[in-house]
Amino acid sequence: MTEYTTQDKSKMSRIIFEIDIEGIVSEKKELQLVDEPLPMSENPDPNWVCDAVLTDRFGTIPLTLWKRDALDVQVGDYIRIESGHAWHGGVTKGYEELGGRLRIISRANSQRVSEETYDRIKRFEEEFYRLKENNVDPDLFLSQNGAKLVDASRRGNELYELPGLVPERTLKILKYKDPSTQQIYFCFVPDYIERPDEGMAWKFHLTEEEYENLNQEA
Amino acid sequence: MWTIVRYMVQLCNDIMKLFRHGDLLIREVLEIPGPAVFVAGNVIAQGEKTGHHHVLNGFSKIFQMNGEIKYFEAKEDLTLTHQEHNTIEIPVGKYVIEHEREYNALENIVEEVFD
Repeated sequence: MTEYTTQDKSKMSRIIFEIDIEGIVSEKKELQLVDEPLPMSENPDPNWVCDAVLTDRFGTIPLTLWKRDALDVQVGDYIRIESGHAWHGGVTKGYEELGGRLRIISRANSQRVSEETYDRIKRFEEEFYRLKENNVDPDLFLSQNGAKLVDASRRGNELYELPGLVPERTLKILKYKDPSTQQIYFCFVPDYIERPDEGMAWKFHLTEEEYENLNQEA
Repeated sequence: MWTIVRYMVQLCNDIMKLFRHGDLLIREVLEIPGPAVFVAGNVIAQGEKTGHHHVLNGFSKIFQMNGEIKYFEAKEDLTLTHQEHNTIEIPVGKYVIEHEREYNALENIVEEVFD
């Protein structure tokens, strides 16, 4: 079995790594068991990062880390920790100077798949992003990979579903035209999206109703 | 009391203007937050790959938050232009700028788009 991830291999080889965070844990917390990571198909939030252990002068606290927008915690990132501790100043060396240390022990979006599946996912991914970069209509590629059109909206947006590529998941792909240039674009949207306009609304941080009632679009 | 407050919030949401310009979503707001810092210029977004710009034409003020251009105030009716996208008209008001986002299904992360 191969651990499937599209992360940089040099980073992923360090399954356990350490970062320093800014902030002070103000009181000792009882040790708690960290829940088993959810399967990707049940992950309610794509920004859920990983389980971690926070060690400081009061002891060791298992945590679930959440972070906005990116997977790897780096200097300057905003992180939120589910237990209620929060550091808004970003990741710095300050915490280490206070004797604290944060260790990431597992990632939410790691999944073990066979080497054959891993290769298939990698081939799909490379071609998907090659076509995307070159603004090529993906119809043939999607069809060849078993994607099916779920729905098309009056505004010309199309939603496709792609079962079978990643085990336990049905990926969703949105195809749409730029209203000014008529150029075709496509991208993934979260698996829970069910309608093409819902996907477009998600892309722009809108509700479907807001997307329906945009004052102008260009 | 809370019903009235909720109704007023909903009413505000209903009448606030929304514009999409390429990879940008421009949403009218009641106020620009106090910590936002005025910056000179009229470019509200610059393409990293294409070098294209979203440019405000007219009397406006642009504000940054955390080093990122995030708000602008249209002191008069403006036009918003871009090399690829059609020009749109922005009426007097205060606005927040949000970037289109994309979901990377294979890495299971959400990313902002800067074209």
